Amino acid sequence: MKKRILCLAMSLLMTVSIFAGCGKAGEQAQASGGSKASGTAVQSSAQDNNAEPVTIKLFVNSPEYADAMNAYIAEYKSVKPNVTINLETIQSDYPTMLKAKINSGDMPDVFASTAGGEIKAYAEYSADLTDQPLAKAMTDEVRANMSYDGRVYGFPIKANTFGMIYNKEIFEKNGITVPRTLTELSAACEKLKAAGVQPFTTGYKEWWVFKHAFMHFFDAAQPNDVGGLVNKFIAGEAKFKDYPAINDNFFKFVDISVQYGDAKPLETDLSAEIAAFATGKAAMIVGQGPWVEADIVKINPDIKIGFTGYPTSEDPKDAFLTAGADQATRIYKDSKVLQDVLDLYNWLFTSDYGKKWFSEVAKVIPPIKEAPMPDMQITNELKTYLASNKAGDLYINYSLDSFHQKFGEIMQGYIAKTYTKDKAIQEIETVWPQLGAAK
Amino acid sequence: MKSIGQRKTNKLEIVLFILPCLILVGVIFYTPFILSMFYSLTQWNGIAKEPVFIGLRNFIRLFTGDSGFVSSIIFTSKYAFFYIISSNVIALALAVLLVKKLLTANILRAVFFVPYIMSMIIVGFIWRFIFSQGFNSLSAITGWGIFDMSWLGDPGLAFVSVVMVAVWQSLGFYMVIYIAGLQALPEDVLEAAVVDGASAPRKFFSITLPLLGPSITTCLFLSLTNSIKVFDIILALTAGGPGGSTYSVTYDIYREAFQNNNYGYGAAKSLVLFIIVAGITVIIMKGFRSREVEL
Repeated sequence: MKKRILCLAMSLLMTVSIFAGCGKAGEQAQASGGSKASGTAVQSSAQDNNAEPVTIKLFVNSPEYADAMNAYIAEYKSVKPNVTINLETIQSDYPTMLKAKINSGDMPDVFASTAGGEIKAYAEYSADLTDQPLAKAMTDEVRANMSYDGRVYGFPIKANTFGMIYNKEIFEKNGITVPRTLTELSAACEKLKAAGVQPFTTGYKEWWVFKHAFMHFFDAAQPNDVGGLVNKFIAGEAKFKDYPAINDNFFKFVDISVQYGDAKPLETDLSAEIAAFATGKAAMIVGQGPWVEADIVKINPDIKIGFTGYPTSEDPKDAFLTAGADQATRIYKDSKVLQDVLDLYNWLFTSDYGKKWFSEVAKVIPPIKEAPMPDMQITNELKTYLASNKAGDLYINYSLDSFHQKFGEIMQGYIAKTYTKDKAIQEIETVWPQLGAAK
Repeated sequence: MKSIGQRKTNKLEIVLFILPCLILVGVIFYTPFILSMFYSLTQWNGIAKEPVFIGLRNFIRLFTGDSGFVSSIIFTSKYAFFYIISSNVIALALAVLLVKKLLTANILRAVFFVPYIMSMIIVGFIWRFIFSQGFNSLSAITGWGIFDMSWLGDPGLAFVSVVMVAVWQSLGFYMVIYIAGLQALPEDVLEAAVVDGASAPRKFFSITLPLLGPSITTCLFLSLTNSIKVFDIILALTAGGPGGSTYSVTYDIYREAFQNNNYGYGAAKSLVLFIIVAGITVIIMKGFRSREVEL
């Protein structure tokens, strides 16, 4: 009998403890609601004297820049000792984690998204930065990438550039000039193959490689209004067949890169691509940019990397580089420490340390005017290019990644020969309106 | 009188003991289930503060030409068919071999069970490495054409690879269930069959197999649910590729909700999946339970 009572008591206790757990969560929610009110008090007093301790929560992707971010966080400690910054970076499934945080009320003060289409999706959570000094410091292309409806809702920690990477030494040794038309490209590939070098390594296992390569052909189709043309495709008003650059030339390019590329194109991923290029096995890479340089140099420190536009037609003028910002960092507009967060990033974008941070610490192309470029081969190529040419617009920003991913799959299907060219184009035209824009 | 009172307290006790579990299951299982019924009637990107109620439009879109969902259902059925057949047949064959008094029987049982201990994600990554890098080296050493094939890059072969790895991983589990079933078989019946002059195949098909009914039902049921739920192996091995040819229903739902940001539509798809799975399960369980033989 005693035992039975004990059991009963235990099970009761367990049940009660569950409710207690719920109760606690409720209290916590209340407490945080209360501290919201006191948070404004902290904020206003922080402006008066900087002694009040403030904590800023950063939750961003790109863990490859975690060290660099920690560097500016440490530096900021000397500027404002009262500000503590908690940095959390993850790569895989960042959007899912962020949505979980948003819906559970655990909103970070600073978060990230892609530029372009997602700027709109997260606009109701993002602080309007249009009148902040950091928005004025941005380059014009970057500011355009960060805007929705004429207002700036985010800032990037790096600008980016896209093009075709090639091995300068292999090209010189075989007497090949950089191909700028599709005919020249075929000829160059033939020459390289005869010399025993694999012309292309493609990374076609990665769906995003396709959007990077396709961008140049799309820009060539309508150089002056890339966003407008994308919107026409999303509205279902535009057709591939009216634009030979994407209707024919892009597929011609994919055919060439597969024909002269890896033995198993759909199994070659980013690391396989980097390895094949860095070891000199392959002469050209498709769909990559400055972010692969560090890994390539790690494998082969003496490599001479060239960076050029894709040949998108028979006109050499159509082979251009594209540049802009494709990742955006946002500030939560209802953050308790909004002013402190704004101070932090205004400092990063305008102070002397901040200007050097981009090129020297993070080693990225700075998204701001009047800042030095990092001393890397691909960015040097971009600098030379920009001296006399204009960079193409970032087509990838105007559709959501859900479309780009499907696009990559359709192109993989084309390479695997489950789709003919016509079927692939028809599929792309069907899914673009479904997945292209945020709903 | 006393016995009735006793029964009452017993009932109360049962309820009290179950209560903690019931609350937990209710909160983390049934509540989301009911909520997803609601979300399936909305358009929601998971980001906006308020989902938009759109009635049955998600279901209408689903049943009128969502080629992605249809092809993922076809993939999953194909996968389930091959997975259930091959994992059960091979596991049963191994079990029959390993209940024999082999010297190495215990070691072999462990060998076949080890892959099951590893997480599916790890197994997927290991095999992805074997298929891509490992096969390249093997091809360079042996020169055999089989290693030159693009096992993860060709839509047909990618399907074979996924089934193969999944069977390889879960074989040990079904094998153990069959071994337990075989060891529980009454020796006297088998002996009587031998005395009556039954051949080994005859003994297997006329006595062992019918008496294994409960084990077979368990294994079939488990392999069916596992194959309909298949997700992690695909995520690790092919991520749906090449060209979206290896999307299972669950992976398609995951992509719809979490990558394409259509939570409402994803919830509608998962409800449809639930109804399909519930239907299949009831039919199969009924069918097999009625065939089981008891001594």
